[in-house]
Amino acid sequence: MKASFEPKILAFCCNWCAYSGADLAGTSRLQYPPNVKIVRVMCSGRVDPGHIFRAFEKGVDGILVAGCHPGECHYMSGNERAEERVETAKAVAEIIGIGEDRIRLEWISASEGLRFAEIVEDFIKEIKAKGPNPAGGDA
Amino acid sequence: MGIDEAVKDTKVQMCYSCGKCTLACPLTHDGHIYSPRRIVETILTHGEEGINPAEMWECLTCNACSTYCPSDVRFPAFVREVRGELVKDGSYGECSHAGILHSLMRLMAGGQLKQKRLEWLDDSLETSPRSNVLLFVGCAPYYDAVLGEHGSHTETPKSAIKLLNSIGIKPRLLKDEVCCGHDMLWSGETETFEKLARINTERINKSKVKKIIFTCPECYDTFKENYKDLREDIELHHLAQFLGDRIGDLRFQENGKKVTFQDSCRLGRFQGIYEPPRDLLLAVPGLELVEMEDNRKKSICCGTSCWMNCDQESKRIQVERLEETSRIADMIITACPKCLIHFRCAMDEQSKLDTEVKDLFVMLAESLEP
Repeated sequence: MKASFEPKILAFCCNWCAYSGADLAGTSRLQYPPNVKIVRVMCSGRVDPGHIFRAFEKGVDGILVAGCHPGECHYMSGNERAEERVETAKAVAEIIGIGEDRIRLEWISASEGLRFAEIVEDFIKEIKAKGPNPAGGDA
Repeated sequence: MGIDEAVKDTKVQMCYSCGKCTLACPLTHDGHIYSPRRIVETILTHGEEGINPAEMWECLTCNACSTYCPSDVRFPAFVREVRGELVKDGSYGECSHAGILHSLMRLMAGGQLKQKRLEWLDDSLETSPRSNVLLFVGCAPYYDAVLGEHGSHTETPKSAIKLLNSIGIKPRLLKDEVCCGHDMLWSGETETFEKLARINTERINKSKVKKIIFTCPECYDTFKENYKDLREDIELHHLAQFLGDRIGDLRFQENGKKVTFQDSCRLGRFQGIYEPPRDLLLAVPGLELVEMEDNRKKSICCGTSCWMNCDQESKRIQVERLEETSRIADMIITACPKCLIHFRCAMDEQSKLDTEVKDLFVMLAESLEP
């Protein structure tokens, strides 16, 4: 593995919890690696496996789907739906040979800025160890 | 291929405006008209400017129009060529399932991924890595993961292996097979199709395979019509046709079901295979086969193709077809995974439909003598 490999991570963050958490990480001046690009979605349940594979197709190395903690979804059960959809995406990632551990689902509340920064850091470390997306791509 | 070339190549300029195509089109019904005649006329009059992309993406490419055309205009082939041009200009159809199946095809076209596509194999199924008969599995493992709520799709290759085993054939399976590219070809992504075709062709050509057997009519049609570089001595068979020639070797047990058969567009109108699936069903003792009003070359499309433009029209077509089935039979049998998925999806949405949808090979394997 080349030492210079810097993974590209795409994070889908729900508007109400995870995105606010990411915001808090920023306003609290917490440091975390710049490899992550955030896409704000209204609810984590809105993220379709299709979006995840579109990102892999474009060369992203890891996907983080982040929503509200169980029982705290702004739309009552959107995060449960996110869980099902991420399971589907993981199953597909295994078959196609990308590997399920390139997809991670996390619950991050609006007050958990530190948790957001830690999760991102940890995920980047993990993907760095795994190496680039085996599909190639040019994101 | 440019538009002018496509016009000539698909004989679109031979249209004499009789309008049979419009009547044959499953999208045409009370209050909605899809007219290949008018589309062709507009393009012949105005050239490229006459193309309406929405109409080009709406076509189901089911070939009903061409079947009735007295002048042999190949409208679906024309649509395919125009889509290729549209994609170059950045126009796409509406992808179903957020485009995941299209993304998977593009990912496979990269040729670098090590897939785990044969995890569904179990010890009861006999395969042989040295066999010269290859069973092309197709996308069933992906359908299980993505569309699992509509039932198991790897039942089809499993049943295919059981049926082949019962006549003494242990097929070979390719663990690095990629999508045949049918949906890429028909949704205008010609370059991706060519990449997929090249990968499969290379991997198959360097093996000692003599025969390829397909359970999916789309894979069969694509290999037959569009895989130009496949080794010439390789025979291609759809499993229905292959087993149809060996009916005497198959031993079935009694099955008292009343079934009807859905001819899929690629197997029927594209490849002319109408009787082998019926012969196989009739070989099952006690099984009663009844025909829907529109059967064989008049068969109605399952409502959507290439994972694109699934809409109210698709649902209407599916529900009408299933309503007819529920009036005349216990079960609708099809030899195409797409028909199966689309009908099951309509069934799941319309609980009032009292029928069952089953794959031909699953049905046959279930009826095999133990």
